[in-house]
Amino acid sequence: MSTNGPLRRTVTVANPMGLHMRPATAFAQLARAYRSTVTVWNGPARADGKSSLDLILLVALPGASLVLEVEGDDAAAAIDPLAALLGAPGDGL
Amino acid sequence: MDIKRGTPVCPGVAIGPALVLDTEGVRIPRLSLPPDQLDAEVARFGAALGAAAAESRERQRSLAARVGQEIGDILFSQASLLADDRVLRKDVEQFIRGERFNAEYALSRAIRGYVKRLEERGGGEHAARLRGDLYDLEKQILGFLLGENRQPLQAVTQPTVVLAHDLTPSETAQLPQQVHAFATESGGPTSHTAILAAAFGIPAVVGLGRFLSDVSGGDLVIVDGHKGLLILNPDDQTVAEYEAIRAADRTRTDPYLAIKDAPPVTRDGVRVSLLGNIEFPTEAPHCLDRGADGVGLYRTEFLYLNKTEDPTEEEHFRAYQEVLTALGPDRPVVIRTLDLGADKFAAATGQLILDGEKNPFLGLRSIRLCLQNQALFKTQLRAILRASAHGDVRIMFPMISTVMELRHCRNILREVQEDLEEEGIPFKPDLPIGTMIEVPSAALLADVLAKQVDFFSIGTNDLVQYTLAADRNNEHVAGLYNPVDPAVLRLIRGVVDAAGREDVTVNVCGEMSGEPVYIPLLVGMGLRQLSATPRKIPEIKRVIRSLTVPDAERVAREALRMETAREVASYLREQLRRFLPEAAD
Repeated sequence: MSTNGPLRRTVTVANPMGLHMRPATAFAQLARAYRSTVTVWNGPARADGKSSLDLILLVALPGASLVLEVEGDDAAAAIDPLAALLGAPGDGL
Repeated sequence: MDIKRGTPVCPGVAIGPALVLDTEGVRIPRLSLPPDQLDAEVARFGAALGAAAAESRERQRSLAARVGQEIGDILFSQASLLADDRVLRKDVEQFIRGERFNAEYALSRAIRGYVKRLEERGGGEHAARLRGDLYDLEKQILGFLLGENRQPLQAVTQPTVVLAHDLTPSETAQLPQQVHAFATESGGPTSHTAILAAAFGIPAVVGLGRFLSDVSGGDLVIVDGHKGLLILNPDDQTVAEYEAIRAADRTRTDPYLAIKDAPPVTRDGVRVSLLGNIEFPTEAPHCLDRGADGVGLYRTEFLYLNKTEDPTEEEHFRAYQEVLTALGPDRPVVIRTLDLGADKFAAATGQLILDGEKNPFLGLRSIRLCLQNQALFKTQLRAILRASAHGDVRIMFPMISTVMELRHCRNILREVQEDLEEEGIPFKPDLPIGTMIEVPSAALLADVLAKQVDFFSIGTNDLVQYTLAADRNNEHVAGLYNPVDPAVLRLIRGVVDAAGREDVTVNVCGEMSGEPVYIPLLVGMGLRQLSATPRKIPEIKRVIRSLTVPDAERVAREALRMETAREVASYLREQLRRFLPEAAD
């Protein structure tokens, strides 16, 4: 056991098109690689981080402040790569 | 029960099951399953999801193979990758097990739920794109679920209420046999939906705003074309109220049936010929049912809209032939050549406009487009000429704005006639040729144009817009649009006078000719032929039969003396009440 509770990060959406299909799908795919539960909040709206559909429905626009929460035995290993992907500026398309 | 408000564009009441049109006309069946079938249904859905996801991955792979991984990733729409999504799977399974819905309907409900959540969160363009992606995803998975059971819409025989975002040509090409009413999210009084509803003679409401995510195929809905309401899942009391209104409507339209065979003749024996405006060949019999003497305006745009290629000569000819067969060899059919802007075209012709036009209404559209694309024009002309061998066909050119244009058209027509002669294909050599008068320059030069045509048709819709320089679909200036603006009336009078001097027939084919309140004025100005939407013909006939020509001329003289549209409109309403107390509003 490496953590006692959930790990959290605040991430700003840097992709100029917001959290749309491509970044959401990429994020969900990475999240599924970990055993921990992954949750993303956009204000009061909550999404299962392993579901691209749920993430898209957050309608996270550029500049939105999201809260990433990871809980589980591989949370420490997961939190950094997931936060980096969530806040990535994308490839401009 | 949910009541949505929109703009009524065709009166009447319809109560029936909804049929939700998506752009491919996929019909989503709604079933209630017995409990022992639920496991199988969930499995069937899972299989369809898997198949959809696999298909997407394959598409992505082959695209990447063609254009490289990076660009492939960029171009590929990832919507279909959602097919594997666990939330989607869970939500649909819940609908199947919890509500005992079949997989197609469960999917549809789930997707509509997501769309609703998107709408609630706002997000503008971003959300709009996502909405499109979600509907695409639905369509893809439905394809796998329905498989060979995919039913084309025309196979639907139960009377239905058609609901759509908009009734674009691609959607209307798929309409089922029995449509009771239309209701659309977008659109205004002059939209395509309005024209279609009038053609079918069924109630319609447009401009309702978003509601498709609140309804699914099979739901009971009511369309109130009088008040402009769409009622989703009405309660029993509401259904009963509307059934009563519907019954009352039916008895009210009966008097018009009695007038069907009566001649359109004034009390002092002057005939005002009534013709019908049509857009589809299937409306031709409707014209006859309503007592029209023929077709005064056959709008041929439908042959071109939303196809991947421009229509062939055969397609044109078959459509014209259908109308002639319905009307017989002795009733006139006036065929108007293509009257569209290039933006509505098949890719082939659309290339003429490389950048969007800034002023499409003043741009390369209609006859101008035809004169710059003679191959396109000649295809239609050939078909019209060939049709002329089978009935009383007359040809009309839209949007003529100069004498040179008209001459150019006639020259091209002559060339086509020579071609057909050489090929030994029969046509009527003295086919009557006419022009629309809708551009003010044509109205002002009517005396010159009259020497070069056999007839005029005054297109009041566009004539009013061009004369007053106001777009009737722009709510900021729509108030300026008024068919009885004194400026427009003077132009009409000028056209009728010029036509009279050269013995050229004139008719009015715009909306004006379908409104009882304008009839005394038009008859009084000298018009002896009107072409209107078939549904309105019986009412117009009643007005004509209540007038004498001296009465009508008096009305016209008075109206032409007035200085504002408002005065004229008010005067005409009052005069109509005198002729026909029950027809005036």
